[in-house]
Amino acid sequence: MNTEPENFEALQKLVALKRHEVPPPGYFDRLPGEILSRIRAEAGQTRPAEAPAGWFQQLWALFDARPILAGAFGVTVCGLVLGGVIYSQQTEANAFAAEPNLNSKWVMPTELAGASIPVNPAASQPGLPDATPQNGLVPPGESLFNQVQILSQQPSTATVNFNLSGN
Amino acid sequence: MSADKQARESQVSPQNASGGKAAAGEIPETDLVQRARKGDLEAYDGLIRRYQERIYATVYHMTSNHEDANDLTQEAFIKAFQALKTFKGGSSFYTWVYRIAVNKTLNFLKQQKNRTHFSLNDMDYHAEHDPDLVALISDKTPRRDVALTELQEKLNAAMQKLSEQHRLVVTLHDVQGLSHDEIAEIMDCNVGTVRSRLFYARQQLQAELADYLK
Repeated sequence: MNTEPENFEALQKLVALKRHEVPPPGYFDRLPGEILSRIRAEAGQTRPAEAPAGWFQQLWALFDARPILAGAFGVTVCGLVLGGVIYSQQTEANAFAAEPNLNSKWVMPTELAGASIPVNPAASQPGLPDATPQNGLVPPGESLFNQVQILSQQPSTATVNFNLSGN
Repeated sequence: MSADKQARESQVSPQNASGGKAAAGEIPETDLVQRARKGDLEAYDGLIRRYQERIYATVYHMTSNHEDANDLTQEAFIKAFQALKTFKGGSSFYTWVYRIAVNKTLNFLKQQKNRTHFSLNDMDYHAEHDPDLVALISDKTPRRDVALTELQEKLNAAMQKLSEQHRLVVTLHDVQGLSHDEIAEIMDCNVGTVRSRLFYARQQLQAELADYLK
């Protein structure tokens, strides 16, 4: 933009007319008293709540005096939230990749399904065939529920005769 | 000497107020600020009396309404007192309180976007004897029929046509007499922005008031 001095001399003299606009007589004698009265009144009203909210009021006053600080604070908070989300996602991904049991070929069944479910039904029920490998490990990616389905497809029923003595 | 009397005597002329430096016999601004921070209302009274005219004038020239200027000036000084503990002293108290008043005024004007009610103050008796104004409304001007009050109204109307930022720069520089650096600090922008805004605002005013400037 061209900001070379133009002939604004007459305009400046005209604008200076505004310096002669003055408030009613005695206004500036009364103004300080009115301001101090309001400060005293507000201090009396806010004193009980001042202690717990002191830091917040100070922060609020600072933001009110410097709106750019309020903007910077908002940007910082957004940045921290965004950074936190990204960091947590990365941490989760790293933890998943670094899990040794998931990278290995075999997975301990107790780690997959918890100890409360019997992984090898044959171990507790002698009538059922042993569907798991001998070392007690389950191939990764194979669900325990699949094992149950496999077991149900296999003939595992025994013939029972109910001979009642009266018939 | 009582603190109140000291505070009253600490009033300075607008020219001295700019830098916040104390002339001979005045209480330094920093002393008044220190005392006011501890809750000394008499010291704060001294600060108010030192800067009230300039703060009021700036707000008044922005709003063109005495009642609004009165409210905003009071609120600015009250806010400044409440926030005095956060005042670090990086700038002068004068610049700091100016900034509070300017921000309050700009927020007020944004809320009152469509307001057109003016309440102009009367001219002081010096106006009719101001040689520059006498020249403007003398027989040599094409608008010699114009009265001083009409000129005042036209000037205010032209000022109100400027955006808030441009009006503020003109008010602070051409009416209040602040330097570009001081305005940049108050408006939280760089000096180049102040200069370009001032240039643009003067161009706008010159176009609006062309009839009175020939």
